[in-house]
Amino acid sequence: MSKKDGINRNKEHPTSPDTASDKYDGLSRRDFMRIASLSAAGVFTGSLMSGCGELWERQPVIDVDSWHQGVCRFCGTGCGIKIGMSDGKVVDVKGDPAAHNRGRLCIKGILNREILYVEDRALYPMIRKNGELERASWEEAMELIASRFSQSIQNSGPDSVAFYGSGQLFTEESYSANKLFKAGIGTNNVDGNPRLCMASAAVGYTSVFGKDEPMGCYEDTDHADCFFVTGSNMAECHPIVWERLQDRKRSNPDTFLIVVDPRKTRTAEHADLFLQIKPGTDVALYNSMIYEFYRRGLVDLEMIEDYLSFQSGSNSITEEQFRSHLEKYTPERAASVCGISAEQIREAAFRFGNSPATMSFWTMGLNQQIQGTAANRLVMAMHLLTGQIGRPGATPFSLTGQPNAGGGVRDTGSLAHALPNGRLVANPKHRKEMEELWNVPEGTISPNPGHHAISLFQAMNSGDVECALIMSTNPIQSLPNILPYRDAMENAFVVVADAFHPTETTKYADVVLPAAMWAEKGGVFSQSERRYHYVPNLVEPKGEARSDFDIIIDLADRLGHGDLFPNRTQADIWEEWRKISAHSTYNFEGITYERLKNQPGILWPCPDEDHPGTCRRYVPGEDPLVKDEDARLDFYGRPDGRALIYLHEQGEPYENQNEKFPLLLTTGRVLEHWHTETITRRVDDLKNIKTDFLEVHPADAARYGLQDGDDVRVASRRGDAEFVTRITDDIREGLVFATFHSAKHLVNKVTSDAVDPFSRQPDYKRCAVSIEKA
Amino acid sequence: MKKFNPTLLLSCLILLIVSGTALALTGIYHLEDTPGSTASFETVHKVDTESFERSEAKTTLDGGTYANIMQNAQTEKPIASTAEKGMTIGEIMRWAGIVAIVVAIVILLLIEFIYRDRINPMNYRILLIISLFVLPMIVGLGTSATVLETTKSVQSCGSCHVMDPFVDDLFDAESTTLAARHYKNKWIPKYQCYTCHTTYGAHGTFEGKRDGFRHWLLFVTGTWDEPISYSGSYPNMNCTSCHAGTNAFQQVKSHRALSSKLRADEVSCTSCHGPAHPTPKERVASTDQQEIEQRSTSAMRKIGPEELNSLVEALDE
Ligand code: SF4
Repeated sequence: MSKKDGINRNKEHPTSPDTASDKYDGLSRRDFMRIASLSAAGVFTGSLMSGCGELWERQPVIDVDSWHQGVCRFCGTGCGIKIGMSDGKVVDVKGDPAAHNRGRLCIKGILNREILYVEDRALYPMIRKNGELERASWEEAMELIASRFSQSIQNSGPDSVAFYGSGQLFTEESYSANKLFKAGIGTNNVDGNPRLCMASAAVGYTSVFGKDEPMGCYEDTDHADCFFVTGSNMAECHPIVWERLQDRKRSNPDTFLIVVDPRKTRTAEHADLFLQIKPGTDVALYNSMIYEFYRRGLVDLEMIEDYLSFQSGSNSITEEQFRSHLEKYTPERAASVCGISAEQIREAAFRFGNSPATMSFWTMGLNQQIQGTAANRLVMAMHLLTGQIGRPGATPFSLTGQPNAGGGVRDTGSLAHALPNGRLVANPKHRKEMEELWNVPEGTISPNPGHHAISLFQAMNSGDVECALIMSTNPIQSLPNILPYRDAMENAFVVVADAFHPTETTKYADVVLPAAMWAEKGGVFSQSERRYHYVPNLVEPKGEARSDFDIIIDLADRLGHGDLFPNRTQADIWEEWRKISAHSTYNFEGITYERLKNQPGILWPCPDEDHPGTCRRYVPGEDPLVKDEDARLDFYGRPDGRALIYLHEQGEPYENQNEKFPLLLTTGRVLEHWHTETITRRVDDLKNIKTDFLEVHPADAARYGLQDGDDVRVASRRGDAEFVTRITDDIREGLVFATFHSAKHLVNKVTSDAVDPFSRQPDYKRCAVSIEKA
Repeated sequence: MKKFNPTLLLSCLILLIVSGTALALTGIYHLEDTPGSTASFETVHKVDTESFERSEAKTTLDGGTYANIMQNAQTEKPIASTAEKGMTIGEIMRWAGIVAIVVAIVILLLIEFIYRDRINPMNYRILLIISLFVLPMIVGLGTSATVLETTKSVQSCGSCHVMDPFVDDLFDAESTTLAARHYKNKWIPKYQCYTCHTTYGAHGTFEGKRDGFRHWLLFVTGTWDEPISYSGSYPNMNCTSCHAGTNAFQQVKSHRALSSKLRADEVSCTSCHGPAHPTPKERVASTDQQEIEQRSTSAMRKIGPEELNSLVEALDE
């Protein structure tokens, strides 16, 4: 009975397993009862059994022939799923109990089962002729693209072409595109939507620890005693990580939850302490909390002594200088800036610093600000200064928004300033290393950083960039201040590869390529906690669609760079990539396709094939790359092993409210829809979920004569958009909120493209607007 | 007819009934879970009832719910309350059975030995029929109802060791599975396994019997597969019969969006709110943990006093 090994049958006789079997000799009273009553039932049931499934056993409502391990198509939580196939179609999707999500999914995860079969899938290539997109053959489309790209490269140099990618491409795809453009064509004009989403966190981690990506993992949630959730509506945007946080509170009700957000989100509703600050004032809040750490003696002296240095801009400073800067941020002063009480700040600081283990979560609320990098660095500083780091449950953890922004874009360095595995374009040594690893002549990689997202579209508008390939994203809806970028699309030759048409972006494309999506192609995704996991290829692409990988390789061949990809398959690219990673502190050489296909993901670093993966980086005993095993922590990403504490002042808003634009606008999401709704809006079950609303405080509604349900126009210095009024006191007075989901109600006509000076990430979370009844 | 000796026959019948009843009563009393047996059950499954004191946020359920009706406790308001629940069907039936048998015996004794000659034969026969057939039928019913009722208890489910990981989890105050949370927060005051595992209505009863029979067959033939898993789609009605009427449920947009799929069981409530029980990985992990604990206890016991002394000395040095 080897099957029953998992069951401990000897519990009542722990020390004498032999006697345990006594219980099974003969029939116990209950067994007797069971036999007696079941024999009767047996006569009845037995006569009905004869092969009729339902009569013998409960049947699944959906017939499934086979189940396959995979990953959700949507958010950065990256839930493990089981994909049910029948007759070559995806018919069912359920959570994978063996994955970190314990079998749970949110509604989007469940509806993965529908997304391949919704309307408006792009089915064949299209070329714009006389202003209209017309059906074309792949050969014709690819030939046109190759000739336009070659022409521009020849006439205006390699920097006249660009790639705009996505955190939704597989790692192999982003890596190949990055290699083609940087090592083949010779331009660093490779950027993508992660710039709009993760750039501040990436710059934050890199500048503080020397290397990107969080050091903690989801498992830390199970050990934290205090959660500091700032600028994140986890309950709606990362629902399954949120469930895990809730689980922690359920099993340990003393767990304390602090939420910082200008809106009383569904996350904030569960907070033990809710700091409803004014948007864009969190730098003052964090400074003030650090001030409190010092005042209360919550600062970890060992950390300061051995593991930290202080920095202002690019100059190092002393701890005293840092402390004297904090004097400006007493809770009283910060309170007046943030619009909350000093007592709340003191309480938050005390809870944060004093709990046995504090874990922070943040996302777009922090990243999408002109002080995004500053905010990221300060949250990390709070953990470093209080020593809330490197223990189970103590970690600063940034959540990603897309299914593959971390592994696909940040780790492969598919950004304008970056090279793979944390290397920088601007660093000659890094360039040389990559040229050697990629086996291309020295000097191939351009020393000039390329255009970051916003500047890329500006360059397309001005004509500096003539051709662009956009893959798996919808920038003409997701970029801030989109109106001028529509012109950019008109001015440049733009190829858009997407699984759907029309989208706001394909509308303006010169060539539309139909792309395979999700289970129509296989590849590696990564999620917030450095977990690499695998999506299997299970079905044929719709229509003539091809995978983005095939498109990139085809383009490489036509541009004469086919030799960059000597082996043509995605599996070969993965082999190449994992081996390259071994030459860096991002070492995941041990993560093979084979392993990924057999388990729900592995967290890197993972240097060899027997390594189980790493939960906590920089921690001796856990991280295989740590050199000093006796230390408390080893920040090996930094040359001196010391993490940096940055000094940042609360800045002024980039645009002021005035009589004409008296209110502030902030943007966000709802649980049921995702990004620009390209996929989710087309799923039948989600069609009735509204995303066209503008949340308005009752006092503002009264001031502007708005009733619930009224059409309302929001206008900024850049543009205006119409929404439907939703009156709620969950929002601060003077602030309005809209989602960026709806293509019909484009909030990004209103938002501003002002960017963070370090990360170049735009500020979607705060701009001055006016509202009026439409 | 004259040769027929009714007294002898009656005596035999009475003997039969009395011994039968005695047997039934013993059965009934034995099935009753005495405090002793509950205690030993709790030790086996490491129930730490004290740790249940801190409960999750108050339940938002209100009004009579199916769980209450199932447990014959309609009068009770929120199911979170653990107040007196009055008598259960099982108890009523047990008492009905006891009263019936006592009444039957008394009637038989009276008509046979005291009133035999004083009542007319018609009445005699009727009383005979009542005490020999009608009342024993009530006893029979009472016994089966009691058996059915007691097998609803968690103890009854936990008596089968295949259920150990699930029952242990139910009693684990720190567990966050749906089952454990419903248990420790007393959202379902009793018959926790039964309440969520028998679909409601007659069809459910049939399913319950069928599954019981199948499980029994698998068990006695040793042909079940570990880790055990729920076969087919879980009927959401088991959840919605309590939850669907609540504000908390109706406010959630995802519930509205998925309403037809939820009704058809194409999406399970546990897809988002699970896991209902520890996942296979967690079951193995907890068993491993127990084994480690057991091994260390047994290892400790094997160390004799001398060995211990030498160990202590070694440590001192
Ligand atoms: S939480 Fe994110 S990854 Fe998980 S199921 Fe929902 S959308 Fe998919």
